Amino acid sequence: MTRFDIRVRRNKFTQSKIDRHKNFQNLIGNYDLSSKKRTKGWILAVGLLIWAIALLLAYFALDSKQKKKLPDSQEAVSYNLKATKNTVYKL
Amino acid sequence: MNIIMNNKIIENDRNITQEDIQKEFEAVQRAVKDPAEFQVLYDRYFAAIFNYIFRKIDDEEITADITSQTFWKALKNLKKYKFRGVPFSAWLYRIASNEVNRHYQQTKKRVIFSFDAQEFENLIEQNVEEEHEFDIDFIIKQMRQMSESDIVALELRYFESKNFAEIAFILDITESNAKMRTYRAIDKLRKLLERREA
Repeated sequence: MTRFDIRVRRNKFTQSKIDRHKNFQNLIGNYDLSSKKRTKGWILAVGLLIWAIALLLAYFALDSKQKKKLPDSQEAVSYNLKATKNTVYKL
Repeated sequence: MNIIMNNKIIENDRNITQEDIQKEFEAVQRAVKDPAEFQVLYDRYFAAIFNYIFRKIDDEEITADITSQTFWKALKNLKKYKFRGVPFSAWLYRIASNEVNRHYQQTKKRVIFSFDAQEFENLIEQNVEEEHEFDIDFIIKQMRQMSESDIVALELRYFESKNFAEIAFILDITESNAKMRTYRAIDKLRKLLERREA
């Protein structure tokens, strides 16, 4: 058996029958809609990118500020070690 | 867009003159700037593309869907169109062929070639000597022994009246390959039809 089939058409397709399926207004309407969607998509993507970059920059700026404010790192470590020894502090 | 004018190709074309092709290319350029201008090309080629797809689908509604999908893709990718000395229709036929192939890949149905009775008669008239007479059922039976690519080559050459440059463009092969494929297909068909004579 072949992968294809050959058929014979006895009736020709008339121009008016074909014209029933013609719809340029629909085609151009879809094109406009798609163009608008594409533009909106681009605007959204660029907006998201700017927002992400701004968020990253803000995070790094805040992080560097916090690092500057922190006391000497050696002191902080020794304080934490003391706390883990279950020492009872008298108030 | 590149312009590669090939006078030989245009002279061989039976339907479209060099002036027509140039005008058509200008229409494409106008449509790139203003998509509403695409209507000229849409009106000119809708029926031809519809008929071409219908031959391979044999279902009016599916054909209508694939035809609109073909024109939609053409309009969407018009900026990418490069002029290669063949009519704009060759590009549409190429898109249509890809869409039909996609349809068969998705549906996994058997490929159909639905030809008009008159088209069979023309094919035989042009290629087989007058004293031979064949009925269509016999021609179809013999054609089923050919490969799909042979049928496609015959279809484009004899049912769509495409020249070799256009066939090459549509099938994405070289012009000499298109010639070889078409002549080989017609030779094969002749031999298959002669079998009854023997």
